[in-house]
Amino acid sequence: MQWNRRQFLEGLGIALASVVLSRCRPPAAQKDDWDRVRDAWYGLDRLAQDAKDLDRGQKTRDRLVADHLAALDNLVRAGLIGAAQAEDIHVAFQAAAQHVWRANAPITCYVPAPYPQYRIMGASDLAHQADILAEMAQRSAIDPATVALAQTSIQRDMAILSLTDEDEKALIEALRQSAGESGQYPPLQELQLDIPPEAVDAASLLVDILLGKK
Amino acid sequence: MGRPRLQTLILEMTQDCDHACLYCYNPWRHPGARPAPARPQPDATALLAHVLAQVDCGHVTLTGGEPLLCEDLEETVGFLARRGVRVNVITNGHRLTDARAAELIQRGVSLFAVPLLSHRRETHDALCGAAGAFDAALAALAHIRAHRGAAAVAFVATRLNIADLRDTLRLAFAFGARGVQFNRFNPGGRGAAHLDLLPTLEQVRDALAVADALADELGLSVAVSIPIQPCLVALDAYPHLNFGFCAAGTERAYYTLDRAGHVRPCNHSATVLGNVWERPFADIIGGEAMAAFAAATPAFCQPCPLRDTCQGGCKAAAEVCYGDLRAEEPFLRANIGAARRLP
Repeated sequence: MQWNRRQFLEGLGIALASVVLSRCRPPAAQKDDWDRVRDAWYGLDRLAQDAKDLDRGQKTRDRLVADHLAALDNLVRAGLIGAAQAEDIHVAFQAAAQHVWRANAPITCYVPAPYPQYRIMGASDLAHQADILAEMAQRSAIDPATVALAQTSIQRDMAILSLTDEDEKALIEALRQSAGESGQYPPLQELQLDIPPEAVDAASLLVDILLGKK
Repeated sequence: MGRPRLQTLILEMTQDCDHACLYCYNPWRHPGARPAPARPQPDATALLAHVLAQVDCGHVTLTGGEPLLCEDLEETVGFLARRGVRVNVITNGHRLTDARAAELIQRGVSLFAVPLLSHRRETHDALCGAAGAFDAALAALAHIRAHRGAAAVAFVATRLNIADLRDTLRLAFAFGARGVQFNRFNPGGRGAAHLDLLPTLEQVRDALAVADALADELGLSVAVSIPIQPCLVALDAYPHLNFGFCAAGTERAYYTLDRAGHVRPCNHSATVLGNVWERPFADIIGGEAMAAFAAATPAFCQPCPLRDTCQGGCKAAAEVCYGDLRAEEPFLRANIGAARRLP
């Protein structure tokens, strides 16, 4: 399966969150904006604890995301990294924070659950879903119409995950124009996008930051 | 007492149901239960407006019976959503057609809870007492996802289906469930007549290990909401599961209303604390009956250091099955010989 820029960065973010949660932290350096980026990542450990309480967890998650963004903005303003690179790194962090929060939040049918973001699943989750659906459809002899509907949803989610912010805006505009006043939206087509080299550069920089090389 | 702050309220939209689940905990299914409220059903929105004006609560769960049997379900959901109240709907899925799913999601349902009891049609249908229940539950999950709604799956672990947990959770994941409730069978209502469905302690331990591994592997949020006593199962052996205990008397309590305005401590309990049309809500939940409910623990648990947290498990089940809030509830009673002394 081909990964696009967003899928790659989100996957990277989640992988790095796993490393961070294992407490492999480099020795403390002097406090600067690189440290503030690192602090946000190492704050995922606290998020895992706070997420047990829905209210506190959401506040911690939002604060970490805001701190991370503010530190990156400072690095951009200081000319230490590019704006596009900062944006890519932040995509990875947002995915990591959401992943850690969701994995630890006590969501049940009674406890108030926040309305889930529709894009919280990563591409690998969706591919895994598709595989299990195919297997279970056979084993449980599920109604083919139901299986087809579930498959369509997975494919739609994959298509949505494939979109960059610019793609998404363009798509929404195209859909609006196509629907006109009828309100009838056409089906989404899956987009094939490659991982651009700048996304790979952003990933490399992020790993360097977490290793304390920045 | 001021305006009580509650995390959630439960409204039983109807006592009617199109399933006949063997494990059903609705207290009115128990022999000798009080009669159903008069028909036609009282106005749900008037009731909710009356109660929500008296409490600080941002979340309501609509359940039953089967709430989709109610023609005013959509109106009720819309009423709550317009007030900024988040809404969950507990449904067996049988009547959640594509159109109804779209309408309810559009009106503001934030989460549907749908039972998925096995990956095997015959097992699911047998436990639900309804042919076609399995196909309906999966179709409902597919409709919810197609309309970008969110669903959690409830797995009630009985002796009949507990061995199917692994493939059932995988099936739930494949259908886009955002979370899973692993509820070991908690006898009450019709279920009180089926104590033979209680899984063994070994089965529960094995199932928790399966759920823990899948929660990690699939990133599923798994809540174990029906209490499991730490003296029977070492809960810290399952780090990916979220264990719950009875929240009666706290902000996390599941105070349950029926449409006539009766308030109960939770949806498993048959105890009526009062009626909101006759007394203020704060007085009802601040009264002696509620205090007695919250304080009740079995004599067996008195020496235990976790007594105040665990409370002996589900006191509502003890009340419904044995007529005594302080009795050992059925799961504890069945396994009391295996209880270990906690430090």
